[in-house]
Amino acid sequence: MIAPDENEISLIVRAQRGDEKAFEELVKKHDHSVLTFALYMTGNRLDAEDVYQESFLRAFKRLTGFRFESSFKTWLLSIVVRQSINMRKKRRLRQVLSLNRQEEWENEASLLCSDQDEAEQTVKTKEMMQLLGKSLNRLTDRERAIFCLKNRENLKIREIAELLDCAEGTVKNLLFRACRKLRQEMEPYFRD
Amino acid sequence: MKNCSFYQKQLLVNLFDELPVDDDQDLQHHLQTCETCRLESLRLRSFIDRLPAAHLDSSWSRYNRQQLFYRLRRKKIGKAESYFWASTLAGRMLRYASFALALVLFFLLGRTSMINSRSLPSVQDLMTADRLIVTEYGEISPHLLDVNKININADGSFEIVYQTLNLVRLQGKADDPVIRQMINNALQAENATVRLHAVKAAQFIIDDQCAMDKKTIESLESILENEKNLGIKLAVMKTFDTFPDSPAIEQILLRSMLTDSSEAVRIQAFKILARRGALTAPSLPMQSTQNNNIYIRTKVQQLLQERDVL
Repeated sequence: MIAPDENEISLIVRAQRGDEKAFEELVKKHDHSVLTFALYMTGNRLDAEDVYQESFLRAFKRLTGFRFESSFKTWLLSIVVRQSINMRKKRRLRQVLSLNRQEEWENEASLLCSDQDEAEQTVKTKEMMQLLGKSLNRLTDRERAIFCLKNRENLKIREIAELLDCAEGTVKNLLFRACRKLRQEMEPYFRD
Repeated sequence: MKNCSFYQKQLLVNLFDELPVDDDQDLQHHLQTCETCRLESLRLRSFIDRLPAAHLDSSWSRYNRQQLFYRLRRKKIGKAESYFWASTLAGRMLRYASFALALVLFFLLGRTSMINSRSLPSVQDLMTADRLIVTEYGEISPHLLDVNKININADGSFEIVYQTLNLVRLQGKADDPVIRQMINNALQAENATVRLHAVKAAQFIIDDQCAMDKKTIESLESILENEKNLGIKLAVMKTFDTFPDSPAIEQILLRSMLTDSSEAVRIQAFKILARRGALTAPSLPMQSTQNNNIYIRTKVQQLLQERDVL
């Protein structure tokens, strides 16, 4: 577990006492990764925005229940994972009802930009993101959550197991399965 | 026995630097000897390294943050649970104390309102009342579904067990109008045993008071006309037998003697009328010839002969 720094502890305690400014500071600190993670999890801009809003509002309401047993980020991500899975369930139901499946990650990749500044690299990264997004869509909710938590958020396998309330062995197996599926989807592109 | 499949799962864990030292040494040893797993390791590392690591467009992120702060400031959600109330011992104690106080107040207010509303019957009263409920607006009759049983006590009082939404036991004297009403209801009950009880109760009242209200007589007459159970009909005849001489009763008996489908009832009616001397002269010849019961015909002829002799 990565222990929260002193400043973060102070912010959390102040926010628990009802200090909204302190909570806003916490939001500023984590909102970028929450939004990216939500986008990876939902694969859809609108759903990611909803998940982002609802996760922080829920975190604000339940902040007094945070007992510093894990890092604040892990606790926050556990809320985002639950919200994202719920959102995907609703979305699947909507798609079944409307029979009108929208192609995801077509426009969402435009929200992302590369670390590198070169225009050529940016275009390539966006194409890669589009491919990754489509490949992630083929994973189950838990596989996707585990892959994103490990690959994007760099959480330890033990932390992911605690967050998802399952055994470490299960996390390893699901991570292995997720990687295998992604490789099947993406490796042909990498060879090019 | 560890095979390549096992080590290939370990490769991924190793790639994220989470393999314990012993397992790592074991894996490295395997990789030195197994060409397939070594190539797989390289491919996997290459795949993970080439996965795009992108960051969000900061304007989108900023927009969402503003939206969130707007919602937080406008208090569209309930205010966060106060730290004092949720996390401190004093806060929790105060919370429990205020809850207990509210409970006591609620109980006291409930009692006061019950006392104030005593003039109006509660639903419970309406369901279980054993007689008419007198309110400032008038009398309310408990909703009667069925009479279950009528007992006649040794002291001459009645016990009527009846059904509203609950089972009710009603006790009262024969002159009690509610008791009379309940017996009348029971005369029309669906259950034959209850009807029989009601007829016997009516009989007891007539025997005791030598009188019966018009409504009960009508109900008894209705039983004679419509009842299929012979035992009940005969009980009604017996009730009329105890009734003092009355032209109305004699008319009912005469009609039964002439038209009732049951011979036993016709004979019973004849006997009562004969005992009362109520068989008037003009009707006797008709009875002797027209009644389809041989007993009645014979008895009528005997009566006519006795009159001729006299």
